[in-house]
Amino acid sequence: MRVFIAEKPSLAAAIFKGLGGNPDTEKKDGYYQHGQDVVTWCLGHLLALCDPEDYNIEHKKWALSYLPLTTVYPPRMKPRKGAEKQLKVVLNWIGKADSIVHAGDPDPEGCLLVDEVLTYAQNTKPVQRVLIADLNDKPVKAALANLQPNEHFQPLTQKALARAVADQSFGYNLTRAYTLKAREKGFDEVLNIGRVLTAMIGMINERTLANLNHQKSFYYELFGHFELGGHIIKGKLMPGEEFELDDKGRMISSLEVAATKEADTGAKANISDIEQKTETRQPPMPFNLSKLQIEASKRWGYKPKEVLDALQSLYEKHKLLTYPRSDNQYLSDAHLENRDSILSAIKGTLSHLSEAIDQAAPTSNHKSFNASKIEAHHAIVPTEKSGAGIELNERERNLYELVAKRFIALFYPGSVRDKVALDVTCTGRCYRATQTTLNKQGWEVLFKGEHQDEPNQNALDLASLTKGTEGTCTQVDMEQRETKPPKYFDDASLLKAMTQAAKFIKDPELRKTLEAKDKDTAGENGSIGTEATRSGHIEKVGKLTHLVSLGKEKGYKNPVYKTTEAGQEFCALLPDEIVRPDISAIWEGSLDKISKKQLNIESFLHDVNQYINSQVEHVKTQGVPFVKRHGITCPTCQQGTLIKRPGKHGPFHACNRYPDCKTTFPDDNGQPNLNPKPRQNAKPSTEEFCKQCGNPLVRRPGKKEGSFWWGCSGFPKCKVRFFDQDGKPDRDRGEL
Amino acid sequence: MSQLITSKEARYKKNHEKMATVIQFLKQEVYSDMPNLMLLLSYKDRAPLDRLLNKLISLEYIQKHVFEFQTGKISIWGITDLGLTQNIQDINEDFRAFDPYRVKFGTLEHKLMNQKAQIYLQRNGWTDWRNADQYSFRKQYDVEHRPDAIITAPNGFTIAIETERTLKTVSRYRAILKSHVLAQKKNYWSAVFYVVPNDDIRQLLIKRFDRVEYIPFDESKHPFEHYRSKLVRVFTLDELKTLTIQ
Repeated sequence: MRVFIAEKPSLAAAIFKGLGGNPDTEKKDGYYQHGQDVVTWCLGHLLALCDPEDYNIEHKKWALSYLPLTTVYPPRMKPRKGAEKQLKVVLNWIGKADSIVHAGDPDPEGCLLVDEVLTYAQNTKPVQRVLIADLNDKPVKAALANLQPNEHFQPLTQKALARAVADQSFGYNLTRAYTLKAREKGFDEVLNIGRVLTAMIGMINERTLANLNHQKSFYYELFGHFELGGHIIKGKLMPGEEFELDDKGRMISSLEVAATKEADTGAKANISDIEQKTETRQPPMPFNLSKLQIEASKRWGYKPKEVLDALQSLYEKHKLLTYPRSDNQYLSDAHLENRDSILSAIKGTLSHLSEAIDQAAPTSNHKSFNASKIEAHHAIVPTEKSGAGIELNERERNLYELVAKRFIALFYPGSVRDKVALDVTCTGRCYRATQTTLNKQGWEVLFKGEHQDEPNQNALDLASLTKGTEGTCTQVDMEQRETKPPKYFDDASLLKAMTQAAKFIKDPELRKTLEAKDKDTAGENGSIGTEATRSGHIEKVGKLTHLVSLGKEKGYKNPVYKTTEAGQEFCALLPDEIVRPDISAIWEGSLDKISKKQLNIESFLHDVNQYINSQVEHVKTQGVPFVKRHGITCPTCQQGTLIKRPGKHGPFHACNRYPDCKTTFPDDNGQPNLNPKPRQNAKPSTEEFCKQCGNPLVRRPGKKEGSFWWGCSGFPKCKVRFFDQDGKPDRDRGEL
Repeated sequence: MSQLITSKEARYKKNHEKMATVIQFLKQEVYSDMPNLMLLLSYKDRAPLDRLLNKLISLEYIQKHVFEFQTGKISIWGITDLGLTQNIQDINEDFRAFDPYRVKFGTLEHKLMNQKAQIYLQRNGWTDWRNADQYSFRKQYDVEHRPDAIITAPNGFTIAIETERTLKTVSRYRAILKSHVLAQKKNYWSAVFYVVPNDDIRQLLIKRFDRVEYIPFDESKHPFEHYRSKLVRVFTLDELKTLTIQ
């Protein structure tokens, strides 16, 4: 009996179909069977690395004396919570099998995912490997005909395992070390340190500081009006190096600009160059997860996690979209062949797109149809299943429509624009007038109104003028603009930053290493985290409220991430290589060597251990340079500090020596209100009752001294109020 | 010790060259004094220059005039109308002849200092000195305030020269600097060199510049401080002797 172990159910179904089975009728509890072939599946990782307390129960307790915790290799694994049942099925089939086919995704994580189960089962049976990236029928069959020995893929498994073990050890050791040391200084929250997480906080911090430290300044633009050949042409000055420029090439000296204005007004001018070109914009690539999350966040403010959840349900429940956790933006030829059925499926799901689909070309030579660029997954596109009759919620429908339109767009021609750039030379300076004329809208018609060009500044056609025409400058306008601080991160930009984390590394050598990781993935540039984990990381960062605040900010559509004062201190006290994606880059270099068999996993882990040990020792001896966070000492006990805590009815401030000191204060815009209004001890009336809910009414003092009003004691459920009339509710005037 | 010239012809030629140099210089400058002419011809002694000047006077190309100021006597040699017709280099020349009664002490001192600046710079390889008081200069450069002269530096940049014996008020400097900023933006010259007699005056001048602070354009004030280093340099006359430009 041959047993296939797939990474996930959808892959299992595709394999089963490729083997000639019918996934709809031959599905058993946790596996498919068709003759001698059994196809079972994992649900992502079925096993998890054992935690420190699994090796030594004492290590459950956080204590400096236990640190550094040693990294165990080879690690022990334990069943992942929630996946025990499927694990049992898989282990059972491994036991019964004569031979096994490893059908993890064709990437290091996929190799590890199945290999770890085989190791856990102490399997001795022969294992072969099938590499399936494209779940369409034809490529699956081709892959099934091309099985390879699984030993060839051991380096990849090692790479993934090394990463997992190193990340775990890094997180446990540094989190505990820093938390315990910070606790000594009266900071009693967990300082979560993880390779990706901390690098994210570092990125947020860098941006926050850049924003806060931004000095408001001005820059200037000059627009010249020229009379040339009987026409007035407006052009913008392209400042040369003789001007004082900022790093973005903008003029910053008002004196210079004003002098130029005066010097050029009335001066002779001539057309020195006219350049014409056509610009074709091809339809955009189909989405991968990050791109879709970024786009959805920009359009509707959806959180990355919400997008992933909606996509997951579109994929699993409705089966309308393909696998969502993809980092790839390419499609196979099979998608091109299945064009008709995919498009008619879209028609079925969203009938208002029928017209657009009818006008789509029968085929496409878009660069996204490139099977050689597909890695573990392909881009997210609609499936061949029609969603007619399926009730989608708003979010699902929006996302489906977005994905569907991108797919339809692949069968539309590119948009074409004619661009003209006309250079006017005046006193040796160049003023440029540009114009853009839309020639063919192409695929952009699908996204109505989203690709509008700015109206041209000049009413006439610049291309109709001739080079060398002479004239004069009749007027120069000087415009003053304010520089803007670097924007805070919101969900979309943070996701984008994670896919391009290499930018945040200062060391050029290291940067190259991280960039090399994504050299084949278009649009990604030294990413941290994987496609599947990024939204989880973002959720997690948002929950570290003591370090990072997520809130509305003036001038931003979506909530933005900022580091709090504590977060800024946190980043300042950690070594640069942890706060920046440097560690990721260093490890990425070593992991790459492991996958090429140039380095063995033991020596990598040895280096990792040494690094962790030195860091832990450093923290142990040096402590953390935390200044006391909120300087307010508890006025009652004079020992503790007031700490903001979340309460049932919003935040409040309490002494950190609770339960020894039970002092609390209400919150007033993030600060404790040390002189709160004394609690009103208004007692519910025994005579007056609310007619709405039957609760007794309460007579309360009003804002004006000596005035009163009546409220229902059922507040906030019941909002009945009355004016006060001689110590009684004024029922004649009625409820308010 | 320079070698004596033995050939009569060569000697005659050399003498002619020297005369031409003096004539050309005086055509441009209208008049000059003994120390400056010695500087021009690199003479250490005044005797040979006296002979040369007397020769030119007898040819009626130049005339000598002695001014008696309260501080003492100053002898000046100026170009005559006949002198102007010698050594024509450009058909559009518009030089004026020396008229002693138009010379005042202040303008005289200023002119002589300006001549020193010119001679020093030209020794360092600067070329194309043009006095700004010529009509042709006014025609070519449309500026509110004309500098004393412009000259081309060895690196090809045109530099305006302002010789300052005395200081002006801050608001006057503001107007002058505004004119220079505009001239720079009109690509007339790329910087202004102020030449002062000594270091004390340099410090005073820089102090004045500090107080300029802003320059008005279009009825609004624009800070000048930052821009100043791009526009203005101040040198003492002595520094010009050894000035090198990168």
